[in-house]
Amino acid sequence: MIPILNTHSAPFQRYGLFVIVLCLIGCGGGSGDEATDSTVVAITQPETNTPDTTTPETDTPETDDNDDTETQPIPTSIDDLVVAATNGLTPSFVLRVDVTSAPERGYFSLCNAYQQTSSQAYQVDYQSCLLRAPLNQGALYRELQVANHHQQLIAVIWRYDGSAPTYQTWQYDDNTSRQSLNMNLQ
Amino acid sequence: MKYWPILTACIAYSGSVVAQQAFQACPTQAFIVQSPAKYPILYGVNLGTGSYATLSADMGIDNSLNGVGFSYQDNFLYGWDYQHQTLGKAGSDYQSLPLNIEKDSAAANAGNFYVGDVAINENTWYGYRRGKGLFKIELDNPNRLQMTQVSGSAAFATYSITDFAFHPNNGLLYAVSNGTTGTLLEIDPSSGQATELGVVLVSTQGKFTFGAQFFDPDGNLYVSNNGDGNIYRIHVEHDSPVGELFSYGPSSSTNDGARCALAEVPVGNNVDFGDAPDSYGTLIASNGARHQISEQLYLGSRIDNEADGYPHPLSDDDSRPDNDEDGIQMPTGLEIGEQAVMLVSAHGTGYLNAWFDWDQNGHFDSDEIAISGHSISNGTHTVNIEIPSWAKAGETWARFRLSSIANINPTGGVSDGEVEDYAVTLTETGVSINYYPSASSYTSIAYEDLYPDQGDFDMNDVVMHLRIAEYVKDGQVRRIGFEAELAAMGAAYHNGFAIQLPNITRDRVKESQVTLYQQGVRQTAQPLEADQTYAVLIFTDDLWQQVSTADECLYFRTEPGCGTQYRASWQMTVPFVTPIDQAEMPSFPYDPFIFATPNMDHGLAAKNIAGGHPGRKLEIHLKNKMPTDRFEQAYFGQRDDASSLSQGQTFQDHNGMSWAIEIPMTWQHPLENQRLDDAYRDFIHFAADESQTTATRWYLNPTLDYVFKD
Repeated sequence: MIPILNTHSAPFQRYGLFVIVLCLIGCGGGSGDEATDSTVVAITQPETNTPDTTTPETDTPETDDNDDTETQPIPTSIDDLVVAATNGLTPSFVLRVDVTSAPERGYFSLCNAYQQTSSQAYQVDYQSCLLRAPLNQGALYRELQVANHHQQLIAVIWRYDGSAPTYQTWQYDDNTSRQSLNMNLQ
Repeated sequence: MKYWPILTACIAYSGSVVAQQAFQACPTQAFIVQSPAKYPILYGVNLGTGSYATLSADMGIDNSLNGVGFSYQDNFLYGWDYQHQTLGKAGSDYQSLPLNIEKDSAAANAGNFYVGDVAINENTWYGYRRGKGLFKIELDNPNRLQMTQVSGSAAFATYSITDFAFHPNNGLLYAVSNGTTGTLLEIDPSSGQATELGVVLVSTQGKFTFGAQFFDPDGNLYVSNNGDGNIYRIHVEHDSPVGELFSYGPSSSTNDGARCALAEVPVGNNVDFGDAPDSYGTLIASNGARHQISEQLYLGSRIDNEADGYPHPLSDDDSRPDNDEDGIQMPTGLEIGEQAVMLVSAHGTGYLNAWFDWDQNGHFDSDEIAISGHSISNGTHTVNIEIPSWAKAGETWARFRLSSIANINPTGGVSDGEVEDYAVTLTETGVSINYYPSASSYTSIAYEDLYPDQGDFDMNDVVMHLRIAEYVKDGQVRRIGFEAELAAMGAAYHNGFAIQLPNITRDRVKESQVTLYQQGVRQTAQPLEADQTYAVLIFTDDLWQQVSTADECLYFRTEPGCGTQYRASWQMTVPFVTPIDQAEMPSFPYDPFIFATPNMDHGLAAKNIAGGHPGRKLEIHLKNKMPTDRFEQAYFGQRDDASSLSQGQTFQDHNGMSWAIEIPMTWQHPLENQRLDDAYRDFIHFAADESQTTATRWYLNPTLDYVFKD
């Protein structure tokens, strides 16, 4: 399937510190665990808000130009839409989180609202987290269900001894159907 | 005309006669006169927060002005002028002019007065001096002001007070005495006789000296302690009156106060309140935590002002985008018996106090202070706290207060800083929390309710917001939590809302410990539905019972101009008898569904198949979710429904379209009668792709003219 070029830009929200990162497909992709762009778009608010509505550009799906006679006609409305009986219209994907060799006593958070404050540091909104978990002997494995628009996340490990936390950003990988976040602190 | 037989002294002033302007009628602020360097300084005090401003640093006299009272009759301040040893009168220019008064012999021998007030129902100043008696000066005739002793009052003048105040309507004087305990006195101005109404305050350090005392129109007496400026409030007509710390005002070694007792105590509109439930002290009526807003001192980057608290679940911070609760981050979990890290962001330098309701009793008790008078400078800092071993796992509240006062209570007013309240979750050691979609966002479940007829596809007949949390230890889910709110209802039919846990049999739920709160109120009805194979949790039988429509609106948040920030809300906690392996748990958002409200009409098609009002027989689920045991399976295959139960293909029409969809965020749903495919043009491309890889974020791109806006 051809991925859609998502043309809408990350909304610049009016309030606060954080900006939700929305624009990702076609914005560089990236398969690594680190953010590919240090100018991470920052997030502005917990997403309890309605989406930004100032840029109502809509995606135009790219249509398959091949004259494939087997292809169903492209639907234009619900009137001619046929949804596969097995298609549950699920709006989420699975992310596998695997943390190894972390401090014995540490606390892991995976969150979606953050901004980069320096090359090594981030300001994270811990109220935006998907997972909050104490490490078990420095390790953690989870399969998480993640909303489709959560295309970029940050993982943080806090220690209790006053030392600096460890951050690692994650970005949705268009090139695989298996999304994963690996964090090895060795 | 009265005859004054014994007038032994006459004080006359011939100085400048300047026409004084009265104050604006019955001002709401309290006046406090202090004389730190002998000459008096007049402050205006907002009793609500204790914030104050200097009204005049020069009242035109060189010695104290004391025993001050505000005249409701002529709107002037009157007080005892120590320099001229007579009554002084001040108007809106705050200049005290000495009055010519004639004193009787007792008054002439009484000296100066630091206890005084002006009555409400007569224009008369009363002054008291221990060992001397009660004296009065009628003020209506400025050409003949006579000061006389209240007959017989000398015998009663044994109590030690530094101010008193007239009650707004019963004509009596009240005062709280000084010392290590404060006793409330009720004084009859016609005799000077005092009645003790009991101890209302007990000092924990030092002695009280209540130099300034005032009333509000509700019969609340406010007393200001000279030593620390603390303002206490006592309702004098209660059967057993007690004092509560109300706010933190200015302190001084000499202190006197006056106030128009018939003026309400406004909090003003430049005040920040908390938003925890009111049992924690949030509303002004509950002496809620409040701070006069200061540009020099606050938490985080935002602070908002409120005329009163908006306790959860109606908090403005829950419902508005400009949530000002942004000064505290909790980068670690709150595990019982463990340490937790708080990240505190402060603007300015002050002291941080924090309380956690560890035992979840709805109050911040004295042993629940987690951070006490912690000095904080400008910037972001780490503060570690200890969660006591006796804390109880579950949802509770925390309150953080930053101010320039080191030790404050979880309630009451402060003249600067900010209060921030947080809903927090306590867990046992080693428990992780998995949120869907996240700890602060919702997924939206949008329903059409004409089933088994397909509707108009505006997908707003019911729109529920839902957040789910799974609490996991060692790979086992111990309990789940739901936060739900009704976001829209564009239907006349009455529907209930419930969640089924597919594959989790009913007996695995610890039924006795399931809790449901509706609008913050604990529900007594058991949410776990009887006679079901799998666990079914009923939030409400009838969503229409939880909302009302705006004027001129047929529905709730689906028509233009029918916006509101109000949301009906529910919180449910569902513990399991024995923890359930994560692999066994259904995927999010489980199986949320609506059902026809029992004994209510739900349309002819639904009625004909069910053989009457359908009630629980009619359920509408997300596509390919299984109905519960209560569902009437005869609906399958009827009218527009093309479900095949045997193939697990349910709640879909002949084109595979469903009656319900999930959108994993707070969704801008279509306006009434605007179709989903017009409001969100990408939806068609998402739905048409069986691989579900096209336009996966279709819900981010609305056509603005077709979606609802508040």
